[in-house]
Amino acid sequence: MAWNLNSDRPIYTQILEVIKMRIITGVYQPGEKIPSVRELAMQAGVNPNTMQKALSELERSGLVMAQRTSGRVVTEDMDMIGEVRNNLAKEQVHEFFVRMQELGYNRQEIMHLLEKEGEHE
Amino acid sequence: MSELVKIKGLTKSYDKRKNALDHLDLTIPSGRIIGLLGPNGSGKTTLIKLLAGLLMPNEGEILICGKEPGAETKAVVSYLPERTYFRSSMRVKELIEYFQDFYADFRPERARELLGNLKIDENASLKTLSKGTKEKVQLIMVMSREARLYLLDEPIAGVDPAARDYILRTIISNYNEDATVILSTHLISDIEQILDEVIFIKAGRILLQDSVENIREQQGKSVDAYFREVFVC
Amino acid sequence: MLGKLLKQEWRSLWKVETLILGILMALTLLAGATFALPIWKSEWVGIQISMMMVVLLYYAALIGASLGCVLYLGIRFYKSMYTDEGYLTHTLPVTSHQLLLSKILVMAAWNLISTLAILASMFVFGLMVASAFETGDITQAFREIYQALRRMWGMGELQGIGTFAVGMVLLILTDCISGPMLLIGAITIGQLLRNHRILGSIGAYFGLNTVLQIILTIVMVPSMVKLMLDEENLNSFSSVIGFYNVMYFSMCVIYIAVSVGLYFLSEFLVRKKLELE
Repeated sequence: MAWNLNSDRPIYTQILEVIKMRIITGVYQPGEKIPSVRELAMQAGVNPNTMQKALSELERSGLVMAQRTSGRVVTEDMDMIGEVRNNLAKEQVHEFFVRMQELGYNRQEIMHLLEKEGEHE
Repeated sequence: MSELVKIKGLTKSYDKRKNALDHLDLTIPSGRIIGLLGPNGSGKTTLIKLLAGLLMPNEGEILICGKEPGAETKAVVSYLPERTYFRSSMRVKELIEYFQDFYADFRPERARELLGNLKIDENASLKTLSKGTKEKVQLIMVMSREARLYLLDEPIAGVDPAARDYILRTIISNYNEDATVILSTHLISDIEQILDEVIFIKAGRILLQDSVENIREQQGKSVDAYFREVFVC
Repeated sequence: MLGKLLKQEWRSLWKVETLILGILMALTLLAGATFALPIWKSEWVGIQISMMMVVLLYYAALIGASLGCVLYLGIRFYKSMYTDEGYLTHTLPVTSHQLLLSKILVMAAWNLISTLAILASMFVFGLMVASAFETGDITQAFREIYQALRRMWGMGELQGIGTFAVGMVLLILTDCISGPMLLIGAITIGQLLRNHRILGSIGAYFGLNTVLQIILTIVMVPSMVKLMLDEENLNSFSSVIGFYNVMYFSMCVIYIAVSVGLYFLSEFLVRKKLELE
């Protein structure tokens, strides 16, 4: 099914990531209504309860807001979205560093490699 | 309902030597999609048939919405067996009428919509349909009821991947919090994503009952992989 | 629910049953029509044999239709209850009483219809054969029979005939119910076995029939003996009729008692001892 979910990690965390990405990258625009739990569950091919749990977490964190009659909308708080984006980016960087250090690079070597390779990106 | 299904000390044997189900205890709440997983001969089908009221227990008790299996529970239980069970001389629309007659919770518009999606002609005689199409028709009938308990016995075995997707999506879209779906299967990797919980059953006994998320988190692997570990031959 | 079950039962049976009876009717007319052919008047030696052949073939058709109708009822019952179809039947939100009653009633109805059809067929065939041989007028013959009967009625010699007719009708009706009941009883009993369930059902059917015959004989013998012993009785129309009345009514009672017993047994077996493969 769609969404390419990994089978040995909890689905809940993976769905959270996917939806956050969609918000950050603008697939779901600020203020836009996102599909219902059922539709999302069908799209992702996951259990509706699991999807509900993920959406509730997003609500709690403020990224999405529940409106009384018309489902959930993405927040219009650009700062918050920016912060989430930042946090995800930081995580990527952290993971990168951990991996590089496993390979045996120290901090200076990593920064040097980054600059050099960065010119080709 | 927190106790949609309550089973206590359930025992069923087909011959003197072996129990197909052995003093089983189980409680199932509503609003769940549950996988009943086990190898062949583990008692999955026996348990489902007992819930459907097709078999009588030797010992123990089954309560569905607080009642023992009978005419009243059958009105709220929707059962999909492994085999085709309609009279093959019927036409599809006669089958719709049949379900409408007997099941107050049957939604013919939904059945027609799903049949239309699959381009199945209502006037077609059931015996002219291919095996795969017959199975889909049966599934559509079963899922077009607004039942409290759905019992699906191997709904995706022997079905092509596209149809499998369709079936799983139909199950998801049918979800409602007052109902529970119990799916028995041995094709775990295809369905684990849509399950809330799984029940492992072996030799008539329950090995575990837990949520898919817990298993993935605690075991660090998919339910399918964990199943293979647990049920190593 | 019962009404809906009745409707579905009827639908599953009527086409084949009507077909069988329709074919019987067609064959009846065909057989009867051959007697009207001019060849009967010829001097050919083979005429006698050919006539017998036609009659025998007709009897075969009659028996075939009769058996066919009953067998089909039994087969449909078995299929709808104990094969893959049983998975649908037994998950319907109905009680075992409703399930069985609906089947019994429809089977009995078809039993009645086929009995009437067979009687009609025999009557029509007889009429067609007779009219081919009688040079006289058939309606005249009927009129004479009717007048003879009226004379006998007037002289009080037909006492008991009314009860006799009622007895016959009742007997036919109870037979229409007990016939299916015996089939159903045999099939549900056969289901108790683990293997060879169909063989078990056939065995049970013969067993039940035998038991029924034994009961009937035990009840009949005393009154038969009584009739035979008194010579005067044999010469009196009314005492012979009286005997038949007693016999028919006792048979009705026995049939009903056996049917009721089998009904409760079958219902119990279906409710408590269902073991669908």
